[in-house]
Amino acid sequence: MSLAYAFREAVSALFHSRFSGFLSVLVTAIAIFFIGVFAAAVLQGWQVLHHLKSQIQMEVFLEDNVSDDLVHALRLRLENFPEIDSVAYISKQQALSEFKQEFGQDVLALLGENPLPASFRLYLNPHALNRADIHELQQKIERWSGVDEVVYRYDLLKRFERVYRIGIGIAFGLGLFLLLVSIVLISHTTRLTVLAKQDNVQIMSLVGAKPSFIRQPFVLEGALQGFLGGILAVLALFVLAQVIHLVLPSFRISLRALALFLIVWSTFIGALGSYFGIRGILNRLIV
Amino acid sequence: MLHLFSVSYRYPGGDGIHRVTFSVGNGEFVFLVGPSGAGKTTIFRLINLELFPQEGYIVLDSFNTSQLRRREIPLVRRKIGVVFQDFKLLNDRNVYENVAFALRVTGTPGRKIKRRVLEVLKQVGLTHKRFKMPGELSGGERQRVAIARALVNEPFILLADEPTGNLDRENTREILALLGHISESGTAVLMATHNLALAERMNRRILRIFEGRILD
Repeated sequence: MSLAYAFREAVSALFHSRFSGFLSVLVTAIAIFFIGVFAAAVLQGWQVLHHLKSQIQMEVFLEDNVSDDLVHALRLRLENFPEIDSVAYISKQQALSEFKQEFGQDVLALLGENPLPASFRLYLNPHALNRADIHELQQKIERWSGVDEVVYRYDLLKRFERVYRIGIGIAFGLGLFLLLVSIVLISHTTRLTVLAKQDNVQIMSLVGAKPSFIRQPFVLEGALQGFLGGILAVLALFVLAQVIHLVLPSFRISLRALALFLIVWSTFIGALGSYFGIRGILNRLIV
Repeated sequence: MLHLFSVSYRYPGGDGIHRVTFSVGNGEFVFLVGPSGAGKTTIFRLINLELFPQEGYIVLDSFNTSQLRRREIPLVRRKIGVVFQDFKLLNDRNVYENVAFALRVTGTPGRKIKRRVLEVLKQVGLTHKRFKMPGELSGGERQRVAIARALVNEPFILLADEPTGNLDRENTREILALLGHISESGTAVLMATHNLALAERMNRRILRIFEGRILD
């Protein structure tokens, strides 16, 4: 009963607040829309990063005179690293045939000897690694006896990771800023509602309403603003995802889980904004 | 039952009340008479727990201010009806909703609200005007709506602070008659006024207050 009453009061207050209520909903929608865009971009970026990591291999080139026993020992040591998914040994002979297959030239016929070294090809575990770990692993293996050089092409990954990190930083900062703006606006709107209804608040207090009961409709009004802002933002995100899909048919973004999260988050932010906005003024008005 | 035992309250500016003691029994109609600034409103604010005694204590039905916890204040207020000189009605709600408001905010179920609101509107003679807005009513009718709102929670006492201050002679007579009926039906009435002649005409107990002290 009391919740139904509070809800009716909150809806009525939101419609009566007109411009300020509309503005709060709009700014919340814009904030949540950008947060949604950033969150979708971060999720997509993470998937690309994961894919890139799983594609990149590390090659451990061995010295020429390495014995079979040492090769076996090195393989066992490599297989012990949790960062390494699997290890493939490429003998000098295999390297030669791979080269011939790839470039169409017989190096042996050309030089009279096989200059290609034997190597281990390491497939890395993308979950267990970031760029610093990979670099550390590379340096560690390079110090082993029998190892000539460890090659790992991470230029693309390095560049992508840097852009990704900057992107996350900007997204986080901008999202936080917009959220703060929407919290301030919602708290301002609900404070205006409290001021417009100060007679009601005092009468409620005098006829024996509990402070929590008096607070409820105002907090609900903020939550409602947040909820409506969240719904608007999610609708706009779905439209954006459809447009992107039309332009780039292979690019499909799944928004369902994100949409639910954004609406819940937005509602929570609305309730929080109004709670802090009215706390002081209600304490003064409740006699 | 209402008892004030040697209650004092002093505002930072110096005004207030000093060692006020009196009782109001169930169904009794008592006038609190004194000029402006004598301390009538301070006594009402103390009884309604907007202020707390700095000395002494107040017994309100089964509650005692010296032992009262803050969260119990709303529960005590539901047992006290308050009527103001300026009515304090909600101008965006009709008569029915103004009265129902006092029950809604205490979480009363909807069916009980309807029955009880119609009961008190009948008691104050405003059933036929339940859909009117406050702006469409006369001063006397507005005060009757305020009285209905004060009665709807079935209080043990009704505090009326200058309830006839804004009314003409005819409406004053009607409101006083209504308050008389209310006290006869078992609810105590404590009415503050600066008009001694008016109180004397009603032939009820009079408490006179001057400069924060009860005389006699």
